[in-house]
Amino acid sequence: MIASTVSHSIDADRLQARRAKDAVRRLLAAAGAGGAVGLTRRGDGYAVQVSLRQAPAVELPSEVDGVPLELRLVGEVSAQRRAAPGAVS
Amino acid sequence: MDLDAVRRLKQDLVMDAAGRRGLRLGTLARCETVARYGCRGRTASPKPDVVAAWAQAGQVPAPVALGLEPDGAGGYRLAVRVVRTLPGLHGVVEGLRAATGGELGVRLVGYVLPQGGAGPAAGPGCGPGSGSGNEPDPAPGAGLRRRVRPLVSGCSLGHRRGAAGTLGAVVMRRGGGRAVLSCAHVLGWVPAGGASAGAPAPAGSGVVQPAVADGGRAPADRVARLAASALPDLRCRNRLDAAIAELVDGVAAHAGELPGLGRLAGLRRQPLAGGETVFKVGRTSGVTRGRVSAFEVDDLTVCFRRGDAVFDGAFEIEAVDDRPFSLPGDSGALVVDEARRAVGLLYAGNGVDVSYAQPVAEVLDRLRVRLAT
Repeated sequence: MIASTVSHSIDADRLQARRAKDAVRRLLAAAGAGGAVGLTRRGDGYAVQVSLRQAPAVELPSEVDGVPLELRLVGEVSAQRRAAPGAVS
Repeated sequence: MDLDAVRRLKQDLVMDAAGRRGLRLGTLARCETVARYGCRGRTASPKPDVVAAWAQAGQVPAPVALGLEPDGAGGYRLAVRVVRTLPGLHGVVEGLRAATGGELGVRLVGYVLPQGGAGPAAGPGCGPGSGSGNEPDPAPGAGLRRRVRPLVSGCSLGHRRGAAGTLGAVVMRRGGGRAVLSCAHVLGWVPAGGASAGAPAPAGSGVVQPAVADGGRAPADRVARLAASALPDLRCRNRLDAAIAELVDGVAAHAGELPGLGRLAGLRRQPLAGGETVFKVGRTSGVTRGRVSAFEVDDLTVCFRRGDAVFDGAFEIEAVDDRPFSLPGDSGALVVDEARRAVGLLYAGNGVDVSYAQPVAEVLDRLRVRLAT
């Protein structure tokens, strides 16, 4: 019974985080700011994580719809292939 | 190291040349430097060409900043802060790692701006000058970059005219027949040659082990033929970057064997919840450990030499051993959880502290294959 309650609680948290994630994507799109948006763990719950190529030009809130927002600077993300000499792949 | 030793080491790694502060990487080559500071370092290869290239490209100040930080055990270590990723960065960080005997902390901090200030006029960009992929390869994956028979997960693999990546897994096709799984940008893309901008590889084209960049040549090293590919489209959103190549007759493969990790324990269909410890074995960085730092990641922009592609549904893996989880050449590596169940197929990273993988269950379903164990 307890496990069932906990499981339900986690699912609800995750659904709420997903809705917040969608809101963050809309917020970033409206601001013309780029960034990969996903979910991350925070304690027993979840947070929305925005992975940025560079420092944001707009101020972002610390939480959206009650879900914490975390920013992470990851720089440029590249395909992890090693080019053949002289090639463009 | 004690605080004074780290201070002296840092001071010796930094110089003031022509009014600019930059890394004096020649210092790294001197054994006496290491001995003087009493750390466990070894001789490192100097990378003056990298520094010169950065300077010529106007990369001033240097894209790496040095400082000091607690090592968590009562001492101190060199703090390496990466401002931006550039070709040659990996070699420089490895040089610093060698010079300090591993007593350093590496973190990507990006541009540091005055509070309230505007961003740089131009971002890091994504093109031939800013991508990585031509740096010297590190030692851990050396054995996997050679000719390996029977084939095994983690070894070098690539299109007969393409980039080098990693063999992720041996898979079984629904209609029968064994194939190898990797990324589409590894197996299914023919790079530019002459006036060509590059193009998707035709079905049936040869795949070699090791990859061309590692000395592989067709037909002597041909092991498979491209059978199916989910190649990223630069014009729309993507979820996958994966391909399979059917093994040619007579090529043996150790299905389910992950060198350095043990036996593959099948496929994990349970969704990620974040925080899971994961592993991979790749052509360049060998066996590494990481932690799932984000999942259900959308709007991820990945730089290919031919342009940017946007991905949804990825998961992010952060390094936990102060060493990148992946490096160029690791694309296609199978990511497994602590129970050795497959969770992802690696395809991107920043070369410093985060990597990205696509859910492997989705890859298998799309390509209509199952893992051979």
